[in-house]
Amino acid sequence: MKESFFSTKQIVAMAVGTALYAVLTIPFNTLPIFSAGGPITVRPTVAIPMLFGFVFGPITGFVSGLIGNILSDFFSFGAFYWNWDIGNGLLGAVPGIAYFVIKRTDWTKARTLLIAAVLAVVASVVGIGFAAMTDYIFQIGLSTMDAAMAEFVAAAGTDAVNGLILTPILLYAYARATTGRARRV
Amino acid sequence: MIRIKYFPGNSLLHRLDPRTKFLLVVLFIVVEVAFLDLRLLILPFVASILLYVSARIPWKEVKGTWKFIAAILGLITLANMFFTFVGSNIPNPHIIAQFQVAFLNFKITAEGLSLAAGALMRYFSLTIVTMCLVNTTDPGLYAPALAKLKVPYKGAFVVDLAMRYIPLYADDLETTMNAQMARGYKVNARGGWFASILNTVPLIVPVAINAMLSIYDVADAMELRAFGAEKTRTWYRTVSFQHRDYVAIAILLSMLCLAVYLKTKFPTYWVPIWPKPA
Repeated sequence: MKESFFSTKQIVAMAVGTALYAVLTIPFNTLPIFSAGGPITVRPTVAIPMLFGFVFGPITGFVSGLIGNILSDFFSFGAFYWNWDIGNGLLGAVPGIAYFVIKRTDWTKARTLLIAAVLAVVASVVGIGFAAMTDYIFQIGLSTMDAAMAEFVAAAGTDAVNGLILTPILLYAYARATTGRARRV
Repeated sequence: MIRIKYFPGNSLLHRLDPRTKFLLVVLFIVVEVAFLDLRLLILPFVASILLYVSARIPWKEVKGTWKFIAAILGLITLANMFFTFVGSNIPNPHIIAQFQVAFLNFKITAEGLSLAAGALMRYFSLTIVTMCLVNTTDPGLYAPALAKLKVPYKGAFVVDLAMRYIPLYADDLETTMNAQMARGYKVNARGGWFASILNTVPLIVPVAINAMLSIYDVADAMELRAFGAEKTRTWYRTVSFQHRDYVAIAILLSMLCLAVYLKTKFPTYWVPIWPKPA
């Protein structure tokens, strides 16, 4: 049986995921995506909320992505874009599907790592799709559908590739690190 | 390296209630989003610098952080100016210069420069005000302040813990980077985008996995102190409004009224008058 989404462990996991995503993302905010219309950057660290979603469930993944993005944006360029914060939350929430269906003892299996990679790509499409489309719908800096599509392709593409490569690596490393430890998986 | 942490002090900003400082940040966000005119954006920009200077944060400690932030903001502003649609919807732009690189045609317009300068000031103001909050607020006061704002205590704890962990993980990242560099790691990998992504693994994996392994220890320690046993909880430290907070809130609200008035007078973008080329 899965534990509560607001247990003490989940609360601490949300805080750790948030802080990790914020801290590790700030150095990568120096890599802007040129075809995008705002302060949008290449972030290998999108794998952090994806991993937290996969390991601790969709709520923890969502909170890690949401608050982590708010903090990293504030510390990097003082920007606050509610739709991109929710989009980053979705990056963590979507891989949370695996929390319900994949046994923790299977985390090191090739099939699980493949699922983690696929979920990372789906999460990038859903999360960045939400952010780019709301940019267009609410006219947050973008005035045309073409601009929104350019933003979506550039940001979702980079996030998908980053998540595709790094999420399985992080998941495997975490699974191996927790092997043999009591109450760590 | 980046220093995003609390610096103890006795300035007015240090002594203000965290809720007053939350309001300050929210007010700046509202004003910065509302203001489009470059001349108006100068006001919150100067105000934010004065606020930060008044906090008397040791410059030696934060110099590196500000250099880094300035680099990020400069890079993003330049990239957006040259590679995006900024200013492209303004009819008959005043072209200052244009040049071609490979098949790309770049134009520098007065409108684009004006919008870029506005964006740069907007980013700087909000970053400075955010740093005012973080650098002058004891991390132990975030949770009591959020609880007073009726945020559920578990939610308040997430923010509180995250704000405590941020400086720790920043230090961990620096230590890990130094350790990996001692083993021959290079920050700027050659070999394209794929190699760049893989190059982040020696940094991200140790910091992230180490942090994740501590989750259960921290959760156990909290549960041993009965965290989560009751639906509500009290806080050892508490916050309360003082006279200075009421004065600060009154000033902030008056500034908001002034901002609304200025917005009605200067509702849209402003482009400096640019002499036409002879």
